[in-house]
Amino acid sequence: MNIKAAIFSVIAVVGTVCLLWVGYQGMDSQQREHEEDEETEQVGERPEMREHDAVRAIRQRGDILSLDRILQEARGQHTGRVLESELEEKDGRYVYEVELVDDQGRVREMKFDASTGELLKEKQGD
Amino acid sequence: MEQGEVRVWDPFVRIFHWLLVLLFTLAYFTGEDWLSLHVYAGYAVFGLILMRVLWGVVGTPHARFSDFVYRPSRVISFVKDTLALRARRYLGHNPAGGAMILLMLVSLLLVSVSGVAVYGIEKGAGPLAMLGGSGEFLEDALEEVHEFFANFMVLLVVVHIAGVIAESLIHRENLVKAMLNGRKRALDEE
Repeated sequence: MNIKAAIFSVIAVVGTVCLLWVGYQGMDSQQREHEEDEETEQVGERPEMREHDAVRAIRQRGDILSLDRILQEARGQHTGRVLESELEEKDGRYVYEVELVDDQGRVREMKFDASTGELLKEKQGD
Repeated sequence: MEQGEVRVWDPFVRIFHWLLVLLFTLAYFTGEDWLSLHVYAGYAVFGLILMRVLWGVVGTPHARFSDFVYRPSRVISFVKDTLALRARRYLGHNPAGGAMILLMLVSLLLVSVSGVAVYGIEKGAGPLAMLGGSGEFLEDALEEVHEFFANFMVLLVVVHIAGVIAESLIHRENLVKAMLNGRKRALDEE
């Protein structure tokens, strides 16, 4: 067998396995980060709140507004059904992401500054 | 090896092919919710692409670009012949297959580089972490590029599979098996 092909093959397989392993390990720390995320995924007018402990801690420090406030804000922008809401940390500040389907059936994704409730960005999804 | 068969695809070409299938599928179905795995699958894709490009220069005969890059006119006439079910049989990649490889390599490069850039901007992490916070506009544009070429790849995969089935039927051979064991029936003496 061609020795060069063997070397390339071994590097490809070992490299891929190592990278996937690292990526898989990273899932744990991401999972922990995810605990901070507040995720609601359901049908119905008012998403049921599932406040994780971490989120509650941030809330109690008074750094961020409640999801309820943000959802009010979001409904002020568009009427529709909320699909998903999430709290994310980005460049050291917290951002709420709200996804909703409006009355025309279009998915809209909005990002709010979690501390001020200001609409940062809106985009129409598909 | 059966009578009349020749080795066509070297081990690296085959391993590259199937690792790419695995990694692209994994990356396509993991996104922001499984970000860590998604990102590392992307790194692996990028690394494999670089290796394949190098292999296209220093590799075995049928793995080299010089063996499967044809003029666009040859590609077009080959596709027409295929549609008319009278395409010539090639031992290595046929002109359409060669063009598909180039398209996929370029698309995957764009997907992985734009992905790393979005990761850098949005999360301030990864090799392009220095792009962190460089603006919503750039982030949105790169996100569009990332998504567009990922979906374009799916289209290419569908066309690729259709091409493999068509050529396999026309020449009564199993090209999927050839990509697994590396062997193909030798060209008929003409």
